Amino acid sequence: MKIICLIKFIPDVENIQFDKKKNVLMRENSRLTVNPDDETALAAALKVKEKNPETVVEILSMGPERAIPKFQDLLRRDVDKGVLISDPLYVGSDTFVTSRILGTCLSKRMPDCIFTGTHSLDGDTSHVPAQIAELLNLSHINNVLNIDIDQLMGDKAVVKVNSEGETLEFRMSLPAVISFEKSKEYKMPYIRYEEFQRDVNEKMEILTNHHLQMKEEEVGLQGSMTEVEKTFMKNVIEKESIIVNNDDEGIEYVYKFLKEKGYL
Amino acid sequence: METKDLLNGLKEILAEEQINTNEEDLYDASADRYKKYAKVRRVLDVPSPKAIVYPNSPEEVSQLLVYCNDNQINVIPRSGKTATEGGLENWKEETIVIDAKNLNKMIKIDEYNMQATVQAGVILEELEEEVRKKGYTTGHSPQSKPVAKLGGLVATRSIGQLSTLYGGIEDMVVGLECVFPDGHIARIKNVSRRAGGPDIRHIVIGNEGSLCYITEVTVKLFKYFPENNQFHGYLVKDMDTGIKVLREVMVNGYRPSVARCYSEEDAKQHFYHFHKDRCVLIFMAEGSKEIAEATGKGIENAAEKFKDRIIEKVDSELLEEWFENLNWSQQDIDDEFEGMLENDSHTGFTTEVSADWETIPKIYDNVIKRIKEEYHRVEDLTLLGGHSSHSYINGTNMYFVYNYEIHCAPEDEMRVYHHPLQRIIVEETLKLGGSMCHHHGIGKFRNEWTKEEHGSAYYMLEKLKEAFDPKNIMNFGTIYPQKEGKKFQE
Amino acid sequence: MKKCLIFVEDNKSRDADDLTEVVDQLYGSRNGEKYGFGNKKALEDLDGTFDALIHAKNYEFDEFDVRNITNCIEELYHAYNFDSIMISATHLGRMLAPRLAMRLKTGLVADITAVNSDEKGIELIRPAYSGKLMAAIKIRGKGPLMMSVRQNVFQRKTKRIADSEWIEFPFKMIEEQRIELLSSERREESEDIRESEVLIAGGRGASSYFNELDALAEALNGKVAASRKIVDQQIASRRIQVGQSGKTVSPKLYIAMGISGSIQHIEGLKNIEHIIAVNKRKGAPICSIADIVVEGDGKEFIAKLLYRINRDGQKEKAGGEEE
Repeated sequence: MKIICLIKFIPDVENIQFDKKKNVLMRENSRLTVNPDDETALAAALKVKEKNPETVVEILSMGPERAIPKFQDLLRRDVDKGVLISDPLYVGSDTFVTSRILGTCLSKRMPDCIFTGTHSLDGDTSHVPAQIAELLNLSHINNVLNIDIDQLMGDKAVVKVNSEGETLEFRMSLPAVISFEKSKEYKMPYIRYEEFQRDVNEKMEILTNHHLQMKEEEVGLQGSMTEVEKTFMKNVIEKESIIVNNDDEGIEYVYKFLKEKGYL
Repeated sequence: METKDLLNGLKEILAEEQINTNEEDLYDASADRYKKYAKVRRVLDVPSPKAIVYPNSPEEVSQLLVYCNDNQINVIPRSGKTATEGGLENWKEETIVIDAKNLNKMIKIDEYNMQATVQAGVILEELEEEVRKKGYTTGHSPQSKPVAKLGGLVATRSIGQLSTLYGGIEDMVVGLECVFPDGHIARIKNVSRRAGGPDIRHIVIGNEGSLCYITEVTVKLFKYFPENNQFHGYLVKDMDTGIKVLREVMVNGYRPSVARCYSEEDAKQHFYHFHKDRCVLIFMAEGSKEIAEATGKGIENAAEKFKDRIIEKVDSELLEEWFENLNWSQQDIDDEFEGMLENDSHTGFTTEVSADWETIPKIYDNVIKRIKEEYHRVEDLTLLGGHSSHSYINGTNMYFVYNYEIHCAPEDEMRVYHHPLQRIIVEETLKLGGSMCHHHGIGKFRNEWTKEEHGSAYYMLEKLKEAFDPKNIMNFGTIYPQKEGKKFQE
Repeated sequence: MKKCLIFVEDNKSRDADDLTEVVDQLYGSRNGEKYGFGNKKALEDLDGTFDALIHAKNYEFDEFDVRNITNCIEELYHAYNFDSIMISATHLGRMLAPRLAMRLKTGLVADITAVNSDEKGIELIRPAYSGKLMAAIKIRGKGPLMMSVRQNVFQRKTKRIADSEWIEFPFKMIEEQRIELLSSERREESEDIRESEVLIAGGRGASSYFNELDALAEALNGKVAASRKIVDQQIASRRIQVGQSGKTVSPKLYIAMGISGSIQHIEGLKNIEHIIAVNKRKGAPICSIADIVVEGDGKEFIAKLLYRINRDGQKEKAGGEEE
């Protein structure tokens, strides 16, 4: 069985640097991390491989060259192969274009199963997995909590899904796109100290548009169906505390606050 | 030597209830707070000792040491268990821990002569509470006060938060009693001062258990005037300014009990509610009414001299509250344990150094710069800063603090995080002639630099070891580098 | 006149009802024709709100059968040429919308919380970066305009109209289902304080009345949490301890009762929207990060606030205005 995991590298969402004057997000030097949902997906694939050693696990990512060190870190963990799609032509692509690029790549190397995360911390659209499923004519499911490894056969998969307060269990025909939700059940193994610098170049392939052959007007901002007009910070004003006493006036203030913000 | 023979040998000296072979206790005794994370995650890479023993008297200690010396058994002297540098870590298969738990009597509190004599297993806070009842203080206030015991406090040359007034333990010890590997019990008598040859107390104070076992200590007492305590705090432009103000106070002859300067990031930890992203400078003046007032004035004068680099004064009430909550307790330690089980993090590590006034700011800048440029996991650092907390007329210390998210296997944590950071700090300090350990001791994890730390004077340290512990049974690996121990240091 | 299709999910007709407001905001209440598509029983509640209600002739789709729902809507699009398609951002909606957008080769904006519509064009506003940023998105290309909409943000303002037109549509593109529901289970409400949107936390100052926090938690639909000092005194279990060595929490509302705010505690608070600190000392460190500081006794505060909340509830029961 071959599983390809889609991995997105996102900027450090906790410590975003926002240029208030120019109203732009400062992306350039922000450090990159693996999107947590995607990490869960890869950890799940590695768990499948642990149980069924003949499983081949590959990772596929689209990102800038500075993601290479983090990409290689993933390869050092018993991942068989990794493909990184990187081309300046693709910069500015929205989810529609990204899905088409990834879809094009995947169609040339169809696996039995595609594991992805459900949402990313930066964009949080959850578009790409569903759109890739559509392009490749596959079934797709979001918010997977668990995949039944024993029941994972060549043509079927059984998964448990978190759906708005309920846990649903589905059987899906493979190949399919299975999107995981971040969970403690699947944790990435640690790389041991001795392995930190292991050379994994022979496992890594970098693809550019030269390989994928997409038309210029189909990619980047040009090919995008949506465009970010502007971004703005939600809470621009620094909070000043309001101090009240434990009297009727104070309690009324707190009550109104709670009601207004929807807690009552 | 076979374990059962070893234990039988112990049974000839002590009663059964004085010998502890409980597996959990032995696992716990194999390492100290240095490897706290690996210990909680059960991945320690060092052997467990064979037994923990609790002698009831110096004579029993003597018999134990002779037994160990004859049979080449490694001895780890232990009292409060608060060691943070590997001083209590075990590197030998055949080891026993001699714990001062039963040497816990407060022997004499001599108010007129201002001295208190206690056995090594007395908890500092208990002694302090006892003398406070009579209006005195020991003046010794390390953060581990509620848990640490006198034996360890003397063996490590410890220092407390009020040292700038009261001094370090070496200024407080009057006399002591200790036992050597050949069984000899030596008692250094209590006198105010003498010139009877070199001061042999200093062979014991700071020996970190590598030369002898301390059984009794006499410390000075000071009168206690808490009603006169004054707090002074300032937000300052940068560390350099803070250190200059500290120096100004010290060289003019004032002795505040607390004199500290925190860098911005370090300040955030303690003073998030008022530090406004600045360096924080804190003083406490203590003593009789006149002295406290004069000290307070001295502090204000020093601040005045640098007023163009001082941003604002801090409300004293805020400082008082902070100070009250500074010490650890056993509960803090237990809570930290549980926290490390649940989360992939802990409260971070520290490496603290000392140098003269001119050199300390340079060391601080060099270290921060080098870590930011060179350290390969700088992204995992959630805190990097430092504070000066013990000042003298001729210099001060610098306490580097660093917290990090642990993104590696627990057994690799030290290699990935603390060791490389410590290396940078020690190297930069030794390069400029400072000392790599102001008060934490060398323990086992800085012994690769012991010779460089002492230079040509290492000869004197070496000879002491040859003289007092020729068979090398006392706390193998502490202070003195050992080839055999290298594997545990990697 | 713009034609807008709103997808109606089983048991979620209220959401579809809300989406009519989005149509009104985009095109004005008279310029947007609202079409609803769903299974027949889901559409019943919407009779009188939508201009037209479409369901399949002789077929009902399963609520997780995204592929067939996509096929149906594609057919509808070719039949009616909708200007915009709106889907509520539910679990199903977030799988359906992108799939459909790719099928129709059009742009999609996910999880919108506001719209801007003027002469310059249409902007759809949505949160990003874990809610820290807001982004205004424009659609390029020939459309239809597609969006998924965050639940409970919009509410229908227009009144009901005359009867809706009911349309039975003969879909042709129904395929064999490739996904089968095996079982479903209601998830037990988690004990974990990290999953609660509202936390009432007690610190040392609340030791004497810690049990009263339950009542306040219930009134606000939240859970009780504790600082280390409370756990040390064994008043509460470590499971609900907030802090560096305990749990890190991100509720929307955090009410800190008698907590001074040591850094070890504050380290356990991340991305909280609203903090209310109740403390006898307004100079306690935690007050510096609170939206509201109530200076006074916590026990009194709880009693007074609960009284105020209940008083309001009683007024409503006594026959206040119906919504």
